[in-house]
Amino acid sequence: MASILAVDDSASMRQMVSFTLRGAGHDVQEAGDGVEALKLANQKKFDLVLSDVNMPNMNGIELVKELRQLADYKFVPVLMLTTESAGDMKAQGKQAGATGWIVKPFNPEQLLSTIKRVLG
Amino acid sequence: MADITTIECGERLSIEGVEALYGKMESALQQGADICLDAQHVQYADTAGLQLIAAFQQALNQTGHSAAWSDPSPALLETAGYLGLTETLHLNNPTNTI
Amino acid sequence: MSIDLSQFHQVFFEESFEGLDVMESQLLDLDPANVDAETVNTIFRAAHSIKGGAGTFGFMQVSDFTHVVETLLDEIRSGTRSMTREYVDLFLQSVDCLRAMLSSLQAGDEPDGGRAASLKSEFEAILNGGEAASATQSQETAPADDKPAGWRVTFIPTEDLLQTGNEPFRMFRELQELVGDEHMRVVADTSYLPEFTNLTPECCYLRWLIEITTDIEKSAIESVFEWVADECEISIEPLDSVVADAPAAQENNAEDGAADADESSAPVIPAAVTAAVGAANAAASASAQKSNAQKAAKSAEPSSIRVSIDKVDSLINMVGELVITQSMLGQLGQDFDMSRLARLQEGLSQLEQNTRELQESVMKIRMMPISFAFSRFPRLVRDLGSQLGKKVNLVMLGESTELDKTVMEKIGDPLVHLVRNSMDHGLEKTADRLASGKSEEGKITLNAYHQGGNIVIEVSDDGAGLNEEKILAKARQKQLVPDSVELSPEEIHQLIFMPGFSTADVVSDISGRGVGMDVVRRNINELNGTIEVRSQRGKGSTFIIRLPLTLAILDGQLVQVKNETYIFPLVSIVESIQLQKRSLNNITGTQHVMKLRDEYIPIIRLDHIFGLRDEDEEFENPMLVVVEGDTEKVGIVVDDLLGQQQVVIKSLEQNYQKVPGISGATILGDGTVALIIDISGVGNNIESHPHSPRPEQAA
Repeated sequence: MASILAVDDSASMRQMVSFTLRGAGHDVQEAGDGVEALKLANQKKFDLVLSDVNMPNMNGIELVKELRQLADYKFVPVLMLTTESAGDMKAQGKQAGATGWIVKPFNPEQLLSTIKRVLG
Repeated sequence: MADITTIECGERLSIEGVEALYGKMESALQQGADICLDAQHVQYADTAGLQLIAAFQQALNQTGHSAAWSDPSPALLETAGYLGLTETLHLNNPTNTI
Repeated sequence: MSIDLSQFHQVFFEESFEGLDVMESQLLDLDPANVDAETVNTIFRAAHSIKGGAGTFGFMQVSDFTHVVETLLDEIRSGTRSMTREYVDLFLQSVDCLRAMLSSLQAGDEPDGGRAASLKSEFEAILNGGEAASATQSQETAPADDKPAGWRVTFIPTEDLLQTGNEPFRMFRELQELVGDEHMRVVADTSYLPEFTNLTPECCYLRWLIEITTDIEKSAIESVFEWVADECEISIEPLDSVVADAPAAQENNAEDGAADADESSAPVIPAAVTAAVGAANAAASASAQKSNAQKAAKSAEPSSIRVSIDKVDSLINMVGELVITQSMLGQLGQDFDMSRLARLQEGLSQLEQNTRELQESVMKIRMMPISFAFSRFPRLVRDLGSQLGKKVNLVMLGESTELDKTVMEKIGDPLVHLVRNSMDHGLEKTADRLASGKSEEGKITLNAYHQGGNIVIEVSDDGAGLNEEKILAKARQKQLVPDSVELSPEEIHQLIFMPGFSTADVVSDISGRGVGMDVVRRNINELNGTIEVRSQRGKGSTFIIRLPLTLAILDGQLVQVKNETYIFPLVSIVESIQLQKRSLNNITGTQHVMKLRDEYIPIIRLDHIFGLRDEDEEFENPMLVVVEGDTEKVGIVVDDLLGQQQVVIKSLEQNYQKVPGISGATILGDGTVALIIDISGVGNNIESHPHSPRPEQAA
């Protein structure tokens, strides 16, 4: 199955996401902010990156921009985990090069059905 | 029978590889031969990959040559089906080999 | 698959408590008058994470409550609102409340919702929650989807669609899963493929037409394309005109239009789609306008301005006239001879008038009634009154007086400070009022009006007035005024604006805590405005703020220094004096102070600061411009005073970099660039020069 990088500064969200994805047979690695995520992405090519927007050190938008600079990540799907109240984050994410978004709060089923849009 | 050049589509007929494949196709077009598209190993095909083949087939027809499929893989056939490109790519008869 | 989310609850509680600790410590460190963006961001992020987690793990009470906290934080973060002490207190209470709720949940109890509910309504009052609720309602009552026999979807991607990882075949696959294989037909349009040699293989040139033959909801189709809907052209139209359910009247019209369009011609994207979309948009914007209008009555929107049609119409009129003048001048220029000189001059003066009117009209667009800034005071005065045990009647005058949006945003905090100050220090306690024969109820008046290119805002109270003896004693004690110098009552009043000055014997909760009148004055000076106070013992005090109508234009005094032209903000000039060459000679070297009438004022040589003249080079006819910056009067020596004119301020920071002593630049009529002097910046500059002031008789 796919290898997925899950980025969120909230440990509970990260655990929920990776538990769900692993349950569906995916290989998941976790990062607590954009800096950590970028480090992992440089070591290995993931098939999909799921990233929170609001994070310390490097936020999700900056992370997408950085990822798109890497040759390996030019076309890799990147989904932003955003909230409805975050307003123009969707547009900002898209502009930075994100593939799409998943609106928080989401449940495991919604997560799995959404990532079908970018995997397989 | 005229010369036949085989173009190997690889395992991933996708956006990461289209630039390289495009180069191969350009030189094949200059050779002016008929083409065999070897797609038996394709495990994943996407829009960019199939679009490139469609464009290539068009260009080849304009030079009076043709492309034939060699054993297109199920993955390729499936993606072409979703994209409504089966007929355009002459894949409606999957046994259509040279 | 079903996952038990409760396994993540413990981690969620732990990180939420950590987040609350962060919020609390950052809030306690925060100075509302000087808010650091990163601090607000950190607080916001903590709230945001708690809300997200609570929503995900099903603690809706927590996420609902955190939502309003987050919303207010977001407005502060984005600059729509400024942080106030009041907000800080409310946020701190929210932290306590959330901690209690989460503790209950962690212990497996139902949290007590009472405190959250009352705090939430306080937030909603600030955020004008009433309107928000009705907006949600109107969204819910939006017309339901039609259910025709099927849909025709036209999908025209942008060329870079594939480069962000979006993949049409997966979208179509998702659609097929929704409607079933047999109910969907996809046709690819390859006619937009370029010649092979011109092809960029990573771009998407294909377009698609998809026919769906089931009665799936339109919104389900839209959600498949949601990530790309903004950039790509997507139309979803009913496959035939038979509408299953009775649609809203407006939609009905659109459908009729669709049928007509289909008969006349059948393009890929029939006009009906446009018509339907247009109708829907019109309906949506009509309702949006309605709710906006209600909202606009109370609060300012973040990045947009609502402009009345009158203003737009007048702008269009001006442009129309400008076009006429331009074409007249154009004709005149085609075959010009000297006999038509008079016509040319006439045309040019007309052009000048057009330009001026256009400028005024454009400025007006940025103008908003000051009621936007005043609207917070009724509640503030009420709450503060009850806190202080004072009965206060707030009178607001001139609420429709307009001023620039940016100025408005920046004047909010100083006004709050002044009103708090008046309530706390100005108005006497009820008993004292009665004892001095005044009415029990104190009066605070906010008054705004225009006066010669400026807006004047007055904050007055009918309290005790300033205590001159006490102020002077304090100033002498703090060595702000030498013991030998006698001051008039007016001069004593102005002392309260000096840095570090605070007369309150006890620093109170209301207006104390470090933020003094000097900060208010600095904030106002930054807006190129001035503040003064008038006070009468026993009758009350009035603070008078004068602000330019806009920050984009400055009334400037052009001055010449050597061969350079500089601009002083007219508002900061006190007087200009012709200097004797001799007196200037006396203030070279270490002499940086001279006596002007009864005062000693520091002297600044711009020619030296900007390196235009050597120390020993002679001045021909020096002029002294006395300006009042941040704190004190400063004399600036220049060669000549040129004209006064309005100048358009260009940011130096945006175009170059920040330069100490310079607040901006402008372009003069002859095309040359002139720098605008930052009076307080230049003033501070000399203070940093070590010198021993030796008084010198002059002028």
